Amino acid sequence: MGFNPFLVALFGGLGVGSLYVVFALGMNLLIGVMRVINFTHGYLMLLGSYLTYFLWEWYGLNPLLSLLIVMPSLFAVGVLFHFIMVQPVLKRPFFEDNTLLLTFAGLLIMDNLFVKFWTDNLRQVPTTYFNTPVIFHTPWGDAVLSQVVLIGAGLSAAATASLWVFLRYTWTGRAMRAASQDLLAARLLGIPARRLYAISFGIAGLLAGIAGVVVAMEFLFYPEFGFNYLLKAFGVIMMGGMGSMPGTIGGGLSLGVAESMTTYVYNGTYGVWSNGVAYVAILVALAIRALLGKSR
Amino acid sequence: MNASSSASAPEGRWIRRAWGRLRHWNHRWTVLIVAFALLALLPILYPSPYTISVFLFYIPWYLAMAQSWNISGGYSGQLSFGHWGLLGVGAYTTAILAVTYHWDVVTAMLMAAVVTFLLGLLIGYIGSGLRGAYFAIATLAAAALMQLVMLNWQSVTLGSLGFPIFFILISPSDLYYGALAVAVVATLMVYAISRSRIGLAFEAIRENEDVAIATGVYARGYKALAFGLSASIMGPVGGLYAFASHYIDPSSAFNIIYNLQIILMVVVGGRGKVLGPMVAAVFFAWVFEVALTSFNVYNYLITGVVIFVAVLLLPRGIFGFRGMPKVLQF
Repeated sequence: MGFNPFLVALFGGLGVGSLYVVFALGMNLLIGVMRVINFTHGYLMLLGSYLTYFLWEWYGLNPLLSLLIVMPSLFAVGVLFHFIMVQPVLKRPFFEDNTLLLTFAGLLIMDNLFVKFWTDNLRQVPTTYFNTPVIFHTPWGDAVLSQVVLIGAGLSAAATASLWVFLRYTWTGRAMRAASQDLLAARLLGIPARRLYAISFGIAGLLAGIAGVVVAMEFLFYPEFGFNYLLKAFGVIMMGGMGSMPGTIGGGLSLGVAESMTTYVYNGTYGVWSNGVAYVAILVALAIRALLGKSR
Repeated sequence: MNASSSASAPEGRWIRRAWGRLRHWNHRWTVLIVAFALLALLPILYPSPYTISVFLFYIPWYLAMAQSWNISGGYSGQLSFGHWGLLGVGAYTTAILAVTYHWDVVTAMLMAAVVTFLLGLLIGYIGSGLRGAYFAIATLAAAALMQLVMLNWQSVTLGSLGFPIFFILISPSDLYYGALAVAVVATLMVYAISRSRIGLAFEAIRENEDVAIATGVYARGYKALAFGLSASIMGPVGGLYAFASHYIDPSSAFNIIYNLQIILMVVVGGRGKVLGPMVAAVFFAWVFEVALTSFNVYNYLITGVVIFVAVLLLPRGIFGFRGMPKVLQF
């Protein structure tokens, strides 16, 4: 039996969607724990991608091995960002507005520096498994995926599972969930909010780093990529619910599938309308929210 | 004023009333009138059409945009990252009406104001259930969607080929005074809002929405109104942009950097003030369009750093310090 284009689109969408999941999880963690929307998240991810790229170009390091370097360094960058962008305005009125402006300023600075130092060129870490197809035989026809997408999906799944274990079974994770449920009560019970904030920011950076490694293997990336992914992550979070982990997983996978289906329907005009899926998802989710009268 | 001056007031009822009004003249009006008179003098001092079209035009243009952002971002506390989309829609509406349908230029711009007003009301209403950063995301997505629609609606906008407006020529000084007129309207709008019930409602919503709702303010309607009023300014501003650049395409008319620069101006000038954003807008328009034109590559970096510093060090804006004269703090 031949290829079923619908199934190919579906599998491709799930593959991309798993990347959206791991990317959006980091943002959603910050939203849940400290009500901060980190606009620099897309560029944190790209920082991971560029790190992977240069490790590969200078030292020939395998992108999967470079995870061992990318993850701790992005954790450190995340903690650093916390001390630059969140800590100074923590006790001021209009905390959310101020962090919004500060992180957006951070986005601008990072974008400009990336373009300045690493130019607008398209980059990718070529791997031997990039062009290896994996064919799935199903009763409705065949579907095909590149091996690298499978590896990326596996990485994303592993990261998601470890985050779940972390939030469920460690003291810090439980403290984070407590802080996201009721910050005041959590502080009254002796949870050190500031340290927790710094750690959450670090973990968000680490997740962005994992997404960055996957991006470096799967796509041709360039500085504007960070901004596009930011909007997609907003789409995921708005669909799945703010601060909700299962929602992020469902939202990410469905956004991936919806985008790939749009490309499949508008056969050939690649990427023109499929970017719009995330925007429409954001607006529709918000409109529903507005009609239901929820403000957060 | 003292008793002797009131005793020397001329007789007659309306004269006395006018005299009384003059005696209690609000010097904020003096400040505003002097500022706009100086702006109106600029093209007379530098009459070269090149200077006007390349540099001077952008001063009132940015000023109008900054005051527009000030209505929603400053007064009602809805940080909008969607004004670049409204700018593009205004530019396209004006250009299509003027070129394809041969409308009068001014009428086309007024129509653009109506279109962006309605669009703003819609977005404002959808986003009115959201606070702070979520509203910002909603507007960002809306603007990106507008850009995508203009890119793909090829039968009307010619898509990525761009839309030429070469045949309608407007002299640079006319463009300048057009932009100045929009800026005056925008500033007066902000000032009128700041002195009215509506402004009070906006500020109540900004300071504490729950309390505002509890005291009977219809927050959702006021937020939609704030964004609609703010958006209506962006229509003519976009139209002016279209006529000033003679040619628009989805990537030049929809440029997020304008949005960020006006945020910078309002944040530096003080959110929810009239004079501060005005001074900041004039200064940064000069910075971006005159002083740093050769550093255009670093526009994002400069904007980012200035926003960063202003948020950390100037929470109340440039005129928000304690020692400042009262007449400047509005």
